[in-house]
Amino acid sequence: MITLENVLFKWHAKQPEPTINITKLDIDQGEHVFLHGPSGCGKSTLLSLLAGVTVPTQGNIQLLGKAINQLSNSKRDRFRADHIGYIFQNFNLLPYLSPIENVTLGCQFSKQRQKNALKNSATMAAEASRLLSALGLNDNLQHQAVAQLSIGQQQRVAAARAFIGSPEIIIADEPTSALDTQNRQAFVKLLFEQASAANSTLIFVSHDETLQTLFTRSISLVELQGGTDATH
Amino acid sequence: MPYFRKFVALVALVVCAGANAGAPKEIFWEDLIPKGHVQIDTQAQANHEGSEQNWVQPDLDAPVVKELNGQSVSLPGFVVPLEGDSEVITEFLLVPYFGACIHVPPPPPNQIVHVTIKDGVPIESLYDAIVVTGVISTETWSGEIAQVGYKMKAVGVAPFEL
Amino acid sequence: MLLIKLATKSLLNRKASALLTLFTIAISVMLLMSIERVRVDAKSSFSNTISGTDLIVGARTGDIQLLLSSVFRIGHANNGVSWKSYQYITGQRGVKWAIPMSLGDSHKGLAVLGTNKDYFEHYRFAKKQSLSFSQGHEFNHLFEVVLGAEVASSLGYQLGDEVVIAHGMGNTSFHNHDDNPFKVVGILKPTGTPVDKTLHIPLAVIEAIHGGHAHQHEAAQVDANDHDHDHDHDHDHDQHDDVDLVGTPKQITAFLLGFDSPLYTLQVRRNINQYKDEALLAIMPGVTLRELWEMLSIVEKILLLFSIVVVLISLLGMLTSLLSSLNQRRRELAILRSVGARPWHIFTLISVESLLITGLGCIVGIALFYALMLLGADYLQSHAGISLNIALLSSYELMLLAAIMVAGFIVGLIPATRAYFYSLADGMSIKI
Repeated sequence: MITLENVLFKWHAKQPEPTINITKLDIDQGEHVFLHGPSGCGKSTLLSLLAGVTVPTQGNIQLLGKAINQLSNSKRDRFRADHIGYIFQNFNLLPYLSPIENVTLGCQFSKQRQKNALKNSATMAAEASRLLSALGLNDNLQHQAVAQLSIGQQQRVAAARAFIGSPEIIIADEPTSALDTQNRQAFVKLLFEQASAANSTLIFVSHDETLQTLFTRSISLVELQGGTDATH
Repeated sequence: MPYFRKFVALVALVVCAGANAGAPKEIFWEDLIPKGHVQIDTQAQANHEGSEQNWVQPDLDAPVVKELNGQSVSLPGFVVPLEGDSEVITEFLLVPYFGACIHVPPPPPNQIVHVTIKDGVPIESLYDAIVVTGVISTETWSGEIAQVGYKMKAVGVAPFEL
Repeated sequence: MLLIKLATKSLLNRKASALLTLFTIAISVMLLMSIERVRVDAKSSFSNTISGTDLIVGARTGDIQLLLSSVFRIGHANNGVSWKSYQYITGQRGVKWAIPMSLGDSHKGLAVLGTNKDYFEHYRFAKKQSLSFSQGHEFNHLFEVVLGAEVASSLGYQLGDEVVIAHGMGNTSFHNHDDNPFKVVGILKPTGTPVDKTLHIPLAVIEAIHGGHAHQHEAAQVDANDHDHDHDHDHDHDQHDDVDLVGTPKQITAFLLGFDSPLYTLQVRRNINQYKDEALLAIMPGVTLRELWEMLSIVEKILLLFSIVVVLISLLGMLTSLLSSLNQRRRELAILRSVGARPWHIFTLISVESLLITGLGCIVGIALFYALMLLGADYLQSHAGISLNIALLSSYELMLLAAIMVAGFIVGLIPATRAYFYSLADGMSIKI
């Protein structure tokens, strides 16, 4: 349900080499994809394109059957709100909201996700709490000030926010880089659980090879850009 | 019904007449002096030592135009404030020339109008002429000197445009 | 809604700087409102001091000086009006009433006015209101005094008390033959004008205060008259008319005139100003007050300008704090973008923050303003004769507040626009 065709991206028109040059990329629904590559190979840019924040200079990006590169700015923002959950590498949380409020933020901009969330729980706060518990944060932690949570705990709150309301696509941009090795695998497993439960597609960007083995599918961005067809 | 039509016609007539009567008549200072009356030069009068008896009003012979009594008029002039507060003036004298002018004697009583305006009116500058609209009346008051003069209940004040 | 909640929580998170900005705005609002209120009330107080008087006549000094010294008891008249001129002018036909005034003495810092009974009948203030008594009545004998409301309350005098009014100090004991005590026979209701701070005695006795032969003569006259009194002198006023409360002073400070018709005013004014036998000046209170306002208008405008500048400075402070916070909040903006907030949402969020700070600043400012007014009212009344109107905000003041809110909103547009473009450019990748 994610298809890229002949996608070219340049930050400036005069740029000699395009930052992104992907002939073809297909990802099915429900897949857990490990996307890796060295720094500077364009990972963030690709994520930006996938999330609809930036538009390709050339080419088509289809998400859930919609050509998002053809949508207007506000429509793309709305699409992102409805269908995409995003996890940053760090500093994911708004310091002035509680963990629960940070999680519910994930569906505040999308009526569809609100509806989905309310299918599972009576209120959005309850759903946030449910997700946080599933991710291993007990009740006390759920109401603690965000600044007092450990990095691992903060990342899990970020994950809950990405999952609330069951968006179809989850994009995680090196979410475990700031965690210590012990917790990395545990975190990935949690992501798998939630993604499977909602049948969402998970795109996990990282340069930690040790995690690669956990994934059924692994894509090297360098190879992808090299012009090879990345199909199954 | 024919009566109804007559009634409507009568009402229309009365309204028109009323409207016409209501439209203020534009008058000027000469109109306040009865026709044919020769206004005594107050400067000469004031210099008269013999007029000590009429110190407050040397020009006893300043008749008013009785026909103006009760009419709705508009008259341009300058303001000499009497009563008011920091925002508005509620009572003033309307005179034909700038009131603080010290070079000429003040106008005789039939060339001054004592104006009152309910709720007062803000007046920016005493140096500018204004037009006062209202019902003018001629009054006689008793006192040691029997006098007549003009009063006006103003309804509106506007800047005077040449 | 969501954005307001986010804005509020965001501000609470930056409590220290937000509060600082808020207080700066609050103080500037308090300053602006206070200056405007005092200015308007001062003008009003002054305008309400005298009414229903056709002319004020005094020595030929200056228009405004005569007005201030005679009615407002501010400053002194250097010269006076001779009794002869007073009699001549007030004797003219067409003069309805005349009030002679002798000023210049003081009792414990409060003005002493020598006048006649016509003062209590004809003096008007604030839209032709008459003086009225809260206790007692006007003086009928020589050594009687009528107190203004402030005099009674601040000095603690009551009806029947004996007050020593001597030239200069007033503290000597009244066993001393040189000082005649005055009996308080009346206390006036408050007027909000300098009348409240004045002690009113008969004109004839002004001489007595200054001691000397005249005083002994008056004392003799008093003793003689006292023998003729009934016990119940309140009911028999006719006898009191026999007491000459005016006397024959050589000079008075000024006098007020009322005519049968205001149409006489202009002519009499001119006659007095050109009076050959003495250098006199006649002013129309309404006209001269306007001259006073004109003189003061430049000061008013400067005051207003200063307070507006203070408000602008405080708003600039808000701008600075919002702009500098933006830099640290770029991550926050990226997070919001990632959950689907549009750049327009970001713009509104920052805009709402500036509105919240300005709005709360205004509210706190108004509270401070009222506190200041309540604290300062007494001081202003006793030291400057300005009676403050502690009422609700006038439409003019509400308009000032609205203008401040609009200014705050406009100032807030700058960081809001910045944030808008940040969120567009940054997308979700932040160069921290």
